[in-house]
Amino acid sequence: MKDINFQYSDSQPKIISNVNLKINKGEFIVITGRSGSGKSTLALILSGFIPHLIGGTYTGEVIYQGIETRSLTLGEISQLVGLVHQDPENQIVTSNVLEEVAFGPENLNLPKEEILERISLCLSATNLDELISRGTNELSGGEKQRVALASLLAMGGSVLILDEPTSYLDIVNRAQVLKTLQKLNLSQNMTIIVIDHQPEIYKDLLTRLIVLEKGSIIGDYYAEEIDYTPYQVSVNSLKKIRILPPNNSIDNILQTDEYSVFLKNTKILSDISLKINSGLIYGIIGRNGSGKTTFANSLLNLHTNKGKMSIFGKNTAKKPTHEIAKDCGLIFQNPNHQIFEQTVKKEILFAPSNLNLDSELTDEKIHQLLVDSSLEQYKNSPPFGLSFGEKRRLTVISIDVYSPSILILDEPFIGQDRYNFEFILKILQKRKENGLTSVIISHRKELFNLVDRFIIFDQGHLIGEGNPREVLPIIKSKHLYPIMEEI
Amino acid sequence: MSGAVKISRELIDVKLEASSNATNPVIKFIAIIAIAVYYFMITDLYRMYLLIFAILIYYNFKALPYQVAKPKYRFLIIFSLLIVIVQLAASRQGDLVFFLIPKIFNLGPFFPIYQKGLFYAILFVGRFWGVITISWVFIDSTNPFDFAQSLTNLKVPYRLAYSLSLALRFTPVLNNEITVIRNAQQTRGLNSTPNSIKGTYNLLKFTLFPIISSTLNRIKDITLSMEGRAFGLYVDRTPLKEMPLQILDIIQLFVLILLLMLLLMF
Amino acid sequence: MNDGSRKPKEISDSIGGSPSHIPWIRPDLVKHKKKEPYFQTSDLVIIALFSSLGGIFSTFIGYLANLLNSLIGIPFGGGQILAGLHIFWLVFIFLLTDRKVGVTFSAGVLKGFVEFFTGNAHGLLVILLSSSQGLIIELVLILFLSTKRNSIVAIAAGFAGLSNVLLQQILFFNSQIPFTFLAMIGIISFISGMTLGGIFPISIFFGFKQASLLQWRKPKSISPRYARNIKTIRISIIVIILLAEFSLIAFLVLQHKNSIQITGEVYNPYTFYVSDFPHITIEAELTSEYFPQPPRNYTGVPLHVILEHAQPKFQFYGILLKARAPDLYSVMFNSTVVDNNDKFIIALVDGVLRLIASEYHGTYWIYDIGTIEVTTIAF
Repeated sequence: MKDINFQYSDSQPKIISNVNLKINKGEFIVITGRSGSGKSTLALILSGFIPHLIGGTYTGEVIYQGIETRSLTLGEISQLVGLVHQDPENQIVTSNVLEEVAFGPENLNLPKEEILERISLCLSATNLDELISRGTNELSGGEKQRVALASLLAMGGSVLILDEPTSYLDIVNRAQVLKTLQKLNLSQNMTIIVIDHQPEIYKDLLTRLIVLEKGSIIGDYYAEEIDYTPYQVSVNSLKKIRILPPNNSIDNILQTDEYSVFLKNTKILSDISLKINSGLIYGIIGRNGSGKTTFANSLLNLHTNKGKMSIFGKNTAKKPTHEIAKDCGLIFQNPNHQIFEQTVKKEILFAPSNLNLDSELTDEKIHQLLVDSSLEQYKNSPPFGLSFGEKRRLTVISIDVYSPSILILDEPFIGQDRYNFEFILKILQKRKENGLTSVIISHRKELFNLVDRFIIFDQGHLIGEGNPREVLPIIKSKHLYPIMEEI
Repeated sequence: MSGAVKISRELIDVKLEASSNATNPVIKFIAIIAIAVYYFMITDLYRMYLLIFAILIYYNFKALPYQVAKPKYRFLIIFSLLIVIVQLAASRQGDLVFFLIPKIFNLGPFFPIYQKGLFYAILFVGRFWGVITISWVFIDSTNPFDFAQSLTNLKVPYRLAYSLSLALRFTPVLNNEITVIRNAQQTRGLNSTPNSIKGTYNLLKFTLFPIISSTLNRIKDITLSMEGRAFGLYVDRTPLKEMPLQILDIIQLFVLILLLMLLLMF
Repeated sequence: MNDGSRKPKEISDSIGGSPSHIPWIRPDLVKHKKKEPYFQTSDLVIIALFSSLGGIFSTFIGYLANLLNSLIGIPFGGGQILAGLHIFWLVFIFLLTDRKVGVTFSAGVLKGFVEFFTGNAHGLLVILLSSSQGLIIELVLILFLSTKRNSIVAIAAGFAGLSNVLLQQILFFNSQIPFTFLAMIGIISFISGMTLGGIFPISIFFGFKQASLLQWRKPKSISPRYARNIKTIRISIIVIILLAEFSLIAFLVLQHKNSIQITGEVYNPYTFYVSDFPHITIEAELTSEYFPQPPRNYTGVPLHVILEHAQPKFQFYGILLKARAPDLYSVMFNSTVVDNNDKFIIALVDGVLRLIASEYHGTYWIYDIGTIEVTTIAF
């Protein structure tokens, strides 16, 4: 087999400038860098979407096995290189697993026998054999990501590019995806390029780490020489928040008793009895599909529920959501779903004006929030045009602006770089100092050194509540975190 | 390794065979259109309502398929009432049947109901329910994706037929997304049952903006995903799951249409 | 900018040929390549997703309409006012796909199917309603293809709104609804279509255009295959519209309220105009449960005179008087009752031709007569 050579130079002043890279067959490369450093653009260039599909000024050349991508069509490139996106939902375009994997070969107009051959090979390579007749709507996030992988493999290519493939997944699902990648890399000698904010996830797999900043390569390391600490949030900054003493703590500001939640007449959560105190940071953890998000939503009465639920001792089980919102803020997983207004400034005022709290807000306070979150320059621009990370910061401050007593953050760290992570930490620190409660739902391992108490869900039941050391046995037995070495 | 490959090959074959026995969806679709046209042509109320009630009773015992929300009986009844009112008010010929509001002392009687008006009211409501119920039969018995696929039988270009199955694939996803957005509005204090016109407009605006922006994001990803797998590279694509037009299906369709025409004449 | 000048030679070679120089593609698997399609993949995805969204959104529009109804205090009307929101998506898709011809119709059909499969309350008819909306916009826009003015898009949307009302009217209501009421609903739908279905999506589109969400699509200027025939197409559309209008007018003239077609078993079928015949005046009393009218004078043409002019083929025959469509009311008489009997006259009452049948019950006084048919069956 011949070596694959990538030769790449590009001078797009804003996003990518003068990148030169050479990649050999069978390498496992991780590309990392801050939000906006051009990682995703680089992936689009490598996979040929730039310049074939996406507009812009593009100069330079990408060469695969001696052929420049511009001289090929996308259909031809796709038989060599495949790109997996961050959100698996958007790359599944058919109604069931079989058709999804068949989609590519069908387009290539291959003979039927060849298609069937490829499907069965790809399904077994990704361990999806049992799922073959499943509808794509019934798959879990991890399964969807593996289906996306299989459907690209069916194109018969030998280079895979993955853009944050595991950020939506819990530790077990992530491990499955990683195992699949490792198998492809080692046994089929595929070239794998992963883009991620957390390179340490791929510690055991990668051969090379490339660091991008402002569109240029600032670091290129081989496996042995990599130091992961610059890409991690330091344990000390997490612990610093943990050791803050609770400020005039009130007990049981939120309380549920034998609380059950239903979705379309199916019981999702049963008999949750929980007490939450003010001035602390809580972490809700559990496998994908264990009911964490459902629980958070139901605290604001978004689902049918049974049992007792109270905030500040007042029964809220029958209160409309928009009235509970004043005391209990909720930040959703996907920031796109909760941006409503036409300008960033109006967006910040959205909730306060709905809740009639805007009279207390001064321009200075808003200005300060914008400056703290580095969004000042976008004050009058439409929020839909912001980057993913900027949108996340905006959704956080647009709820933090009216300081609800309880703030629930649902997977706030997905797709976020270290800078945004630390921004959220600052908000959490400020809230703790002011005696306000925060609840974080996340798979990130950093939670272990950050939160005061863990709340653990498993298959719709509350299976543990307590400080991280108390619940450690449960975490270990349920494989929730790979934390052994950090304690 | 090869053992696993064999197992999945068998599974694929089973899966492909399972769907090849049913009637071709396009033929079925033409058949229900024929029945709907029949409903619009007959004036025999007995025949009309016999079929409607048969279907209604059947679906009263059988749940409708997953993708269909429970029938909006409220809307159906309001719309039917509207038809009835208009027909009763407009037709003034034929025998007087009764008065809607009888004579009370010296007042009234009001709203005379004429035979012809009553006939038309029942006829037009029958047409409406006829079309609705026959549509249920089709939706219940057809996998929408098979329907999209079999459109290529009618020489619909595969790129266009494919966009129908793409639309259907994302229907539940987008539906779910609208729910999430409406939840998000409420968690930021927006009242979901506003008591002013402006509030209603805001509710619309604040739902449209986020759903459009997130759909635009989705479109980019989906396009890349399809182009990245060579969609539209060649003139044809190999359909793995074939849905050929079977002679038997076409004969069935002819028999049905013949039957309907006979029913129309006698 | 400058990549156009530096296009490598291979591009022209590879189209339609076999790219044998690409090492990773097995030569036996290479097929004939497709030319650049008119709808790009991204166009198709836009049409598919937004049609799907439009289909789902109709439930939400229903919810809003209910809110509006409860605000106004009447149980209906909100639906009509918000009807333009159904067109919103078609126009929005049209703008997103760089105003391609054929987009709104495809989107209308697709949206109809999505609504159909998700259990819309109109069943099959929703496909018809939705596609006709798309088609109307398409037709109006083809007429003005060269102008890219937004006002025309909005007007097209207005017509689409109007078409919806007309279709429902044809399908479920007959023409006896007072014209003023129809006109009122028509105007509401037109305005709703123009504002909520036209101006609203245009303004939202430009709002989004400022944000960078739309800019990733590489601009490609592919004109439709039939663009060079656009003049012919436009002229044929105008001809079709004119023809339709002409036949409509002709139909209305033939349906002239003061005329009756005399047909059936006669030697001389003709169109009867009340002014062509000598009139007589009779006194008659309308007996009816609801509006009995005291005896008064009616002036008109005796029925037997009208029939004699048509020269019936038989001595005894049946006379079938039919009201104008779509009110298919009819009454039947035996010729023996009518012959030489001046008590049956056709008179013009309140602008409508009506049978005055004195000594007969009011239900025989059929009005708005369209045809008189002479039949063989006499009884």
